[in-house]
Amino acid sequence: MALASLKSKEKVWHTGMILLLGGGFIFQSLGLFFRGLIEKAFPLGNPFELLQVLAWSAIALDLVLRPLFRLRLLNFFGSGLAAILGLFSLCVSSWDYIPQPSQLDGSPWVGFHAALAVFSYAVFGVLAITSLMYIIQHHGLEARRSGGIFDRLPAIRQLEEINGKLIVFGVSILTISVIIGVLNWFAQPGTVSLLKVLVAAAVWGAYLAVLVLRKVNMLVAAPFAISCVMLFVGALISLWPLTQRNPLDSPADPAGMLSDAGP
Amino acid sequence: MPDLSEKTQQLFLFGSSHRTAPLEVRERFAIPDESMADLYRELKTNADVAECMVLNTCNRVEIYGVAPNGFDEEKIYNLLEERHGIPAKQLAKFSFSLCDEEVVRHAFEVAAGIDSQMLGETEILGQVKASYATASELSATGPILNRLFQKSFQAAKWARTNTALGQGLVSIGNIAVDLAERVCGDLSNINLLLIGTGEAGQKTAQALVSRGVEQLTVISRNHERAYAIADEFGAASGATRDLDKFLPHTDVVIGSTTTEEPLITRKRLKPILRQRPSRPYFFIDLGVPRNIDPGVAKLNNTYLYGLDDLSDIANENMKSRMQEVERAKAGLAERAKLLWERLA
Repeated sequence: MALASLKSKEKVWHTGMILLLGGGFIFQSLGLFFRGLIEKAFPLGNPFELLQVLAWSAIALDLVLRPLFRLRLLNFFGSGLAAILGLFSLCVSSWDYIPQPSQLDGSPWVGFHAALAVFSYAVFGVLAITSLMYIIQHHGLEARRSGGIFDRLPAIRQLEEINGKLIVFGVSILTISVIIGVLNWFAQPGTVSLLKVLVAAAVWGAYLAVLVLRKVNMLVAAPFAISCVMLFVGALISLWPLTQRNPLDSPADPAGMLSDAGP
Repeated sequence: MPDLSEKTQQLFLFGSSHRTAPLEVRERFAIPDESMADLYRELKTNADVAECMVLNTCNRVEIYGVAPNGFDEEKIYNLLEERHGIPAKQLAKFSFSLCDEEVVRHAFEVAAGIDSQMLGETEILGQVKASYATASELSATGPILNRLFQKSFQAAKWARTNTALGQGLVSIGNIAVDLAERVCGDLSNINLLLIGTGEAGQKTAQALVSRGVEQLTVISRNHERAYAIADEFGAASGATRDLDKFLPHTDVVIGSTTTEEPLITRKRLKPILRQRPSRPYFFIDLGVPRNIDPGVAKLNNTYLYGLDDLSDIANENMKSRMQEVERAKAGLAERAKLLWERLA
């Protein structure tokens, strides 16, 4: 439907796409709500739930940011990302296991830390989308291509400004999440494996480094956009070690995969 | 009545255009306006040409002539090399020549805009008329060329009236506007700098202004001319020597001046880019020779489009109208044949 709405100039396709996107979002919200009622926590207890929440957060952000920044085609790319994450979450049936109670269970800060971390990933997901839009527009201009998608994508300058705001927003949220994670870690040492600490620190450090490099004008424009897309791919890969359970933090934290994501 | 029936008398055309030479070669072939009177004199005396007219635009240098003793290409090579420093070897490689009826057909197609880089453009007819007026003032034309060009103006008018050649064209200005929007977004928030007072530059600036640009500055070596054009736009004006003062605050630059060396180079731009690294630059270079160093395009966050790039996009958009061009060509060829039969 998104592809049809992109190719067709008729309003009916565009309206249909918005209705499907909005309907899907409401449907997914209800699904996550009922999951949360069953688990008595934000549904972040296994990789399936984590990816579903990530897709949901990315669409929620798209729906807010598109009118706010007047970003053309954000919904098109956002629905693509959500579809990929949704399909990925369904790839391995064993990912949707029933989470075990954890020794960290009961702390509201742990759940808050996990929710913030996932939300920051969603922001980085939207940043990856706008960066991808930037790369496509940049490539079109460099290759002297015109018409089609190039005329409908946002302008380079607009995407550059939005990318700058999104990286600040995402890193700020992830930093708060990391601080809460560190405090949890100090309160209950030994509950998180060194691998998880290192991976979580690497993701946070990488995004912080990109932000700092941008602020000192050493990483802007196309190189910045490429970095953001690559970093998000890396961040998605990092979910795998972050969701691995080991004897140290077993039984698992019902609050979520990223509950121990702090350094 | 003009007559080419004498056995040795020949109508010829010698030249180089976008069809035979790339931009960097055409830049070297361009003849400065101030040398034009000398060239006409030399053609008549040294190349043994009875009548001649030089069409000198950014995309072509063409010499139309009538040679009483037959057309001698070598004489033209030598003249252009000796008097105007254009290497004969390069001329031989990147030029073309036509004779008799082919010249008439070519002149008709040029005037109608069919031979233009941007198919069906209207500016070329004005340029042909201006070149013909110059040649007439210098008494370089005679009965044959007078008839040829007067008929070519009529042929161009026929093509525009009777075919769809002039309809729905994509102009350089409109293409520039679309590209500027892809780089800068809302045009009301950008600063536009027009360097030079060339016609193509003014038209492009006009297209951008009509689509919302509010901040425009016109700079030129001739400050009075810059002021006059800026006044028409309700814009600011300045001198080319102050370019460094304007560049940091500019988003879109149109280069449309005559300059031997590029005005905007990588070296000049690099320190300015450091002041505004995340704000993209869009350069439109309409100058021949080029006003902006092509190396600028390699800098981060800068987009440079030259005349060739804009024309390529326009022609790509106009592929669907090629059938109409074929119809116009057939009509012009018929008219050229008729004229040639009367001339010969």
